[in-house]
Amino acid sequence: MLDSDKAKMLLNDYIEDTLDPATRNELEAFLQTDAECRTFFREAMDTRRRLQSLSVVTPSEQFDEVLRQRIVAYVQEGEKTSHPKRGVSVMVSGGVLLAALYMFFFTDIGMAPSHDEHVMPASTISTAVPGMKPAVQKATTPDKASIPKDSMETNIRKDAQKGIDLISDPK
Amino acid sequence: MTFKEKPATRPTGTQPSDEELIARFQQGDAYAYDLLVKRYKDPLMNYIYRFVGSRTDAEDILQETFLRMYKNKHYYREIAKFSTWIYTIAGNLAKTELRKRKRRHFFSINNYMSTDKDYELPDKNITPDKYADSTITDAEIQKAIEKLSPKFRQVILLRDIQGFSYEEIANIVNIPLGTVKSRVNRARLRLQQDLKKIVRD
Repeated sequence: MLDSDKAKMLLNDYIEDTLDPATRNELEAFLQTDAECRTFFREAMDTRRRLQSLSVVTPSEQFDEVLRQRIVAYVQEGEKTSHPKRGVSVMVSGGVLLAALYMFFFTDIGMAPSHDEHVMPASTISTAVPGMKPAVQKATTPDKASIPKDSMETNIRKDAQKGIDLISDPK
Repeated sequence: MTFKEKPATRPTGTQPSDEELIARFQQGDAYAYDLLVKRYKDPLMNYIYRFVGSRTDAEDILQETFLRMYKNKHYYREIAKFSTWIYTIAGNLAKTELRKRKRRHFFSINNYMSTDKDYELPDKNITPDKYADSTITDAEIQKAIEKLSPKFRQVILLRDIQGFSYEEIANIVNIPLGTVKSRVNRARLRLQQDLKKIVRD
């Protein structure tokens, strides 16, 4: 059995005509008996009708032209951004080519190796200086007297006399 | 007792579908782009205008929508309807515009008062005939629409003015179907209340 609250829950489906026929009939029968709910439904229907009959707003006459200009600007902007990259790469490769040509023509790079008689073969070069003897390094052993005494020696001896053992591990 | 739903812009007869046109445009056919603009500019303008409430802003957003469609044509995939895609772009731009305005007018009494409350019982002093026969101007209805928060405004515009199905709205707004239904319901009730106040005043 429908009441006012349950009926209002069906409002949307009623407005949009998505109720099954039995429920729709039941609802319409209920609306005949409930004036407040009937008013509410009529207002809801009227609100929707008002929304649907709102005037249609259209773009201005210049709209198409402005859009066309924006698209042209976008396309041109795309071309502009791609040109500098191309320009830079052309300049870099041109520079490299010029540098290579300069080095080829004005330096020895690229010339055939010359077999000049003045050039000494590497095998004949000696690193030893003639007439000089190599120095001989001798190992020396220090005197016993020159070795410094262990500073702890005296203390260890004294502790041994007292029976103190600081060296071995405590048990 | 039911309203005839306003038909959305759809191809008829031998006209190519939106999806065919966007596919052609993706392959470089600029004429297909022109056809899509011609087909969608009026309904989109109407949608955006009702959303943001300013003709100048609406036209700017519409321009931006079509420009984005041009720039991002390859992002469209045929898994979605073209109308869903283009309305999503337009809706997102409109919401961005509203957010910008909100930042500009950080606190407004008018907006504060338009929080989304549940509906109240109708005023019994206004008879149904008075409500139905009263002359409410477009501007007053627009004002009532603008009092809705954007999330409610968007769904009611898509449903009651643009004529999209609930499923399509769920795709455009990217929210669950149940949420769409609930928002449409609440937005209608809120509008009903506000329009009634206008009649009473």
